[in-house]
Amino acid sequence: MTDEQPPPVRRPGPLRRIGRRAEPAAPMPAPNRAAEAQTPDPLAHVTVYSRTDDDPIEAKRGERIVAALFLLSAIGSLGFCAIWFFTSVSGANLAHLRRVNFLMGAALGAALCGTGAAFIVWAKRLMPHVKYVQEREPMHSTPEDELAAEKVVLDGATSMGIARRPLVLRSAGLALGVLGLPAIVALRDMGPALKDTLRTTAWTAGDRMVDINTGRPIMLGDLEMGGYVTVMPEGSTDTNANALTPTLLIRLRPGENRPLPGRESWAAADHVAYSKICTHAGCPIGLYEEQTHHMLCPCHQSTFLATEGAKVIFGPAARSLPQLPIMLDAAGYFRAQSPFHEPCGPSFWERG
Amino acid sequence: MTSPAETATRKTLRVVDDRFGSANFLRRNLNKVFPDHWSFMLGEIALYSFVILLLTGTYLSLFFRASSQEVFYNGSYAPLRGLKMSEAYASTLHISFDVRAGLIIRQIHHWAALIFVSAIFVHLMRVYFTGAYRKPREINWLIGVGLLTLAILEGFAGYSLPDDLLSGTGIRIAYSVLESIPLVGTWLAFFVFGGAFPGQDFIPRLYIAHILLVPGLLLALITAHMMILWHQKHTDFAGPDKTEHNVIGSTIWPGFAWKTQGFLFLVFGVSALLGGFAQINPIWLYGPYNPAVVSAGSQPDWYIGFLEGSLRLMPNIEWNLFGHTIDLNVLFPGIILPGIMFTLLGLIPWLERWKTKDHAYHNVLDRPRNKANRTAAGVLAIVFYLVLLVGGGNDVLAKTFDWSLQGTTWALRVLIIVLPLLSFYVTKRICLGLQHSDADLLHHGIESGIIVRLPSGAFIEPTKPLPAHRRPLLESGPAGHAEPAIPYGHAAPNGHAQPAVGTGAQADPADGGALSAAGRAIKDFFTEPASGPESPEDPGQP
Repeated sequence: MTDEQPPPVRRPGPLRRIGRRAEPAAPMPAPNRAAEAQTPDPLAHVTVYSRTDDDPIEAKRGERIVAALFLLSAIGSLGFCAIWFFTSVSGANLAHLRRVNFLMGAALGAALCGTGAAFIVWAKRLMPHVKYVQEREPMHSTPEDELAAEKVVLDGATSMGIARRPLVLRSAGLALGVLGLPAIVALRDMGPALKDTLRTTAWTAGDRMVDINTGRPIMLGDLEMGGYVTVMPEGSTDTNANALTPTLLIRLRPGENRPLPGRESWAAADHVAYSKICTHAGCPIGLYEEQTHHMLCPCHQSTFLATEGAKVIFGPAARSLPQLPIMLDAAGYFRAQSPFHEPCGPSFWERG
Repeated sequence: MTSPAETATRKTLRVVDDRFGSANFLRRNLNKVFPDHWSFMLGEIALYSFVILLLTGTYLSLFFRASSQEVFYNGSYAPLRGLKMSEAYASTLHISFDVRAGLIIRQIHHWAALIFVSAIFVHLMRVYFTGAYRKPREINWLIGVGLLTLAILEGFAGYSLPDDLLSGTGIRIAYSVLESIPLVGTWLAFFVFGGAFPGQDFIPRLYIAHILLVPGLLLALITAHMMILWHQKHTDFAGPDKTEHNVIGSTIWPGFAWKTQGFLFLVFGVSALLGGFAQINPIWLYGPYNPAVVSAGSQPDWYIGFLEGSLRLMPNIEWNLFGHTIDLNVLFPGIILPGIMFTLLGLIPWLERWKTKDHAYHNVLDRPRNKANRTAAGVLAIVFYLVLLVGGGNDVLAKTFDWSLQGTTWALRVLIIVLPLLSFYVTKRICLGLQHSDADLLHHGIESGIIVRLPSGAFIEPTKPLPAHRRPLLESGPAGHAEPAIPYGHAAPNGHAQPAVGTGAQADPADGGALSAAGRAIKDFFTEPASGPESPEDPGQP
């Protein structure tokens, strides 16, 4: 401490004093001082811009903080292991699982945040605050280097004879152009051909309608007025195999149904059936409002009117839900008169 | 006298140098100067959350089974026992309930994914609003936009893997969006899913994309992003002694390295705390996916929300042309609009150059206020994006505030046009206003709030000169060359002299206040205090 400066005072933020270093930087001890004296300055291309003094008392405090944080981290890591060993995770008890998860989170958080904060405090409090200035070299090279590089590229191209040998160039273009085709052709087997998969559902004429959840056939009287149920054709209730097949069977009040022209016979005993798959993006129509007869898709809020051929009354869907013609058989069970008359689900290019 | 540790270090360095000639490289790069500013750490958050994702994701992959094979669940979560579900869903339940650290790692993974995408977004905004994408950094901007796109895809793929009811609905919508592409869409959907929705092939394919293809691309692009950043050196804000041709800050070794690795642990630690204390994506509450079932209020992860919103706000237009269907109500919001948005985003450096004809190198950042048009355009884009995001929750909004759903949707349809334009205008006015106040501050000094009556009888408000260390930042903007600086103490334009205010009598309004002091304290925790050699020897405010 040869300087005559008063003891440095720590102040927050930009007010911290910028001065000369109070003591010479600790020289790098070397096995051979003479040799090291001749080595170039390790900071040759950067310059010290400013440096703050470090208060030895503050430094001592910083040291303790860093050590405490590392200790906290170690306790966290060991704590995590202890929790792991001494608890049995069992989904049967959600409250227990939540407690375990809380404890593990706290332990892991302490382990990681402790180490993280320790490193930062170490750098902030125990290392000298030195600012360096470094020159930016221009991003582009010198004109000589640029010319030289261009010459190398062009000379190489000349020796390849790209300009002089059009036959080679064109045949190379052909070969490289078709080289990608095998990859594309091979990818063809990722999926089957379209066929009619998107146009058909599992419904065929005469299929009995069964409750999608219970598999029970639906009879007249199963639904109360204003009630609805999701149905599948009997024998094809796997929704993963028949994702476009789910259908809503709705019981309207007498006289409420206003069938579209040509569909007068598609309802049976005030029951109507519409595809459950939204014509917009394919979500199932999840909500039916008994009073307004609105059928709403919860994904994008397309709304269809059950009493008027499930026409769109709001939202991004452009087409009505396809209607399934239904009938009652002699035993009082609902059956499909025929398959759907148009493709169910969202639009696609080939739909027409 | 050399310590054993020093000898060992020297020996190691020698061994490496003998084989790689690394001494010069090491010296140059360890002494590389990196500027200090809190906003330069936003990209680091993204980088570190990616590291967390790799670590936690590897753990999860030890237990997850990417299969659509249907099984009957018999794990320890009672409410779902005996239910038929895909192996993917069953194994996610297994991770959550029967692997001891499974739930917390799953939740850390999900939280880190949200942090990853969020950090990229905020980092991108920082880069945009400060003009850091200008020459020579255009390519790195483009890589960044690619990273954002991949991050969103990767997130979507990740949360879709458990095959629960919520994410399955998202996949259903994605299938419909694929189907809507003219000419090739249906084939594309069939190839990606191996046939009609849902099929057995998609989950395994999605898994490979999620754990190999996309992360591989991300890793490669992140590496390129960092190497280019390293090579081109970081940009910096204007400040004392800072020029286009230098960098002022700390060297990589040891200060920056220590702080940044501390930051890595902190990001990991915060993710762990979130994973422990904040439940996320409780798939056991949603149930297994079933194409016939949906729950109301289905919301995707936030970064997909803008697509959900665009699908919801789009009017129902569908064309039938020459026997072919073009369902614009899905095609436009699902493919065309995001396509336009991301293309414009990627082209920003070139669009700006086309408009400004600026071909110069830029290493000093702009203050957003000084580029009013750029800032206003950025706010326009953000507001447009936010309206889409809000649109993705129009049902939640309508339910929460008891509004009409139709009314909410129509209001948002109008707002998506009006609000961005309005925000452009307002932002531009605010920027210009701030430029004026900067010019005022620079040329007339800081208002003292004291009215002085001169012996002549005139009233003036004396000003306090701007501290020297604050001048460079203001001078970097248009205020710096708008009018010649009026030397302190000389006649003001109004003809009156401007006496100085006693130092220390008034707190500098721009420096004081408990709030800004707190802000500085937080900032200074991570970075060097913003001071230059010209900082006045201020006794400090009490």
